Amino acid sequence: MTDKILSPEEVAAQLTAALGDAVLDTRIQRRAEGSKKIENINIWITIRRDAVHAAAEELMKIWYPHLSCIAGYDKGADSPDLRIQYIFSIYGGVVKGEYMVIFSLDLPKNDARLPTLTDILEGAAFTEHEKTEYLGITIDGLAPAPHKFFLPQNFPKDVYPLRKDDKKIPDSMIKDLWACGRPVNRPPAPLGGGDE
Amino acid sequence: MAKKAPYIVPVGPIHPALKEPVHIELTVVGEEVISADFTPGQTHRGIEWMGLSRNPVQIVHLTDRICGICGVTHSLAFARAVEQIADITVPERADYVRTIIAEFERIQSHLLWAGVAAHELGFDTLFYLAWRVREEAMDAIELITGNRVNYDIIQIGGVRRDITEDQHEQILRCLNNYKDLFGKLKTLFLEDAVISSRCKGTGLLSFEKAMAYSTVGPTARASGCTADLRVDYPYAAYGDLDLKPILPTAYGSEVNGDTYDRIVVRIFEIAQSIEIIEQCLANMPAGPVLWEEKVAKILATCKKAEGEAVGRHEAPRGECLHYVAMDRSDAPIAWKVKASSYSNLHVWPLILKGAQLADIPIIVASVDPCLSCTDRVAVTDADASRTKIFTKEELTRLSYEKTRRMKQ
Repeated sequence: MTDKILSPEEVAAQLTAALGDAVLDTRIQRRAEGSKKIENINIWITIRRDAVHAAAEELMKIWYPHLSCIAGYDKGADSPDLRIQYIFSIYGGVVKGEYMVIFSLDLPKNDARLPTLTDILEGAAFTEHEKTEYLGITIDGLAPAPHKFFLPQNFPKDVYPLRKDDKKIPDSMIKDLWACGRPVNRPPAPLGGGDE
Repeated sequence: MAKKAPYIVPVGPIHPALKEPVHIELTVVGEEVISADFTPGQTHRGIEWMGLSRNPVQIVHLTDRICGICGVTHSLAFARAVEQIADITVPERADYVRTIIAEFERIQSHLLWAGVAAHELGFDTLFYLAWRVREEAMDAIELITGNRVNYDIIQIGGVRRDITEDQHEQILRCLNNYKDLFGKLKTLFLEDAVISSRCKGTGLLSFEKAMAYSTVGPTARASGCTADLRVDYPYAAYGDLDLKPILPTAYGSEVNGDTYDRIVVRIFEIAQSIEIIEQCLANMPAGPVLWEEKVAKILATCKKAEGEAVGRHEAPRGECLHYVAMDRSDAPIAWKVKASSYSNLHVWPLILKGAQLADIPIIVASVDPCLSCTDRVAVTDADASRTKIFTKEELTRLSYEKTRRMKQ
């Protein structure tokens, strides 16, 4: 970690230099709001899947990063890939100087494995477990959880709620809370302070 | 003498000491907690999945209902993400209205928390006082948005309602009342011997652990992390203001990262929010509050949008983040909600370890957990001793009626 505050271009260049051809694309997104139009900056970097750990390590050399979460989605039932985003920010605590750094990558559904970041950032475990439960991603090196964190404990194996494939949750687990047997013959609600 | 074997003490998911459903499992020896585990996700509603079959304008309403306290937090973060993708420029005045509402939300949320914290300590007089004081902020929010919860003031491209000159006087009166009360609140919370003895040195979260766990908001700042999106990452009208993150040093004490420090940060953030609202009211630029009034045009613009973006907001509990990806269709192809509490709940096992059983409620409450909310309301007529349950349909109808009345 260095004390020098780098520009977004320098951050992107340093990460590109360190990761080499694992960086597929970089994009700097700027947005200005309020009267003074001071910019907030997001750096988007598309990487190969095998460069995730190295990318986080390199980010650590620039500034101690904050991991907001790992996001991800299924690109569709017809697509072989999931799309994953590691959403970091750096320069937290620097007045008007924080950047988001988002690493995106494609992950094949038939080999959905990623390395854990818990050896660098302990707190990554929570969001990594979430990706396992929702998208079925195996996180190599992550200490196994004693139970599910987000889904019911009896949730069926090999069903991942955010995958757009054929597998379904069994009907017995679906609770239509909206269909809770509300009376259908109830009179209209009184409006304007009328008596019931 | 009984042997001090480790015992498992399950708390929740439904428990008198918890306001929301979460399961906490404590391993105790005697009175001391030697390890803790927790299971959130007791009321998962699949809200992200619901959003993938709705258009962005409909999702703004949905985001408002993620949390019953953070009425503007999620909708602001989501709207900012969509505005980035669709390249929609929010009018400057709308940025100020968004900031004012967000700060009123912080005041009411911190006061709500303060009441809950006092209750968890068994100090119910203070609980009632904090919640009574909170009512003024709720009234101000109702004055501005028309609603006390689920404000629905955020729209893609701005806000649905302006703050008029007539409302300024009432808002300033509310803020002045808070200024008068602030000293009393500070004394009651921070100089009370019972609160000090119960909270100092309990629920310790070190600076290193707060950073390694990527904690956010007052929980992180109480451990010495200076991160505050309003200061570090200029958005809405915050970039125009001169702000500093509130640390426990605001009360002249050193940073300990304990429950008491988390109280200090929240109490002083109330005073900071009052100043922010005053600055915003004094410097509000003139002009429209919405990029486009016709919803059809907003939808048409969103339908042409392609790309991905992250919208963030410093909620009362810390960073709230929405990731959105769109591909020139009605609904987003991806929507990820990262609520503030998501980044703070996982420190529970750390801060509960070594605690005394009696301190569990206040330590659990000290990260200001927000787990779920309900979708119905019960109204009790005290004079007539009658209770009526309002259904969603009835509430919707009442809401329409009120909007019409206010427009007349």
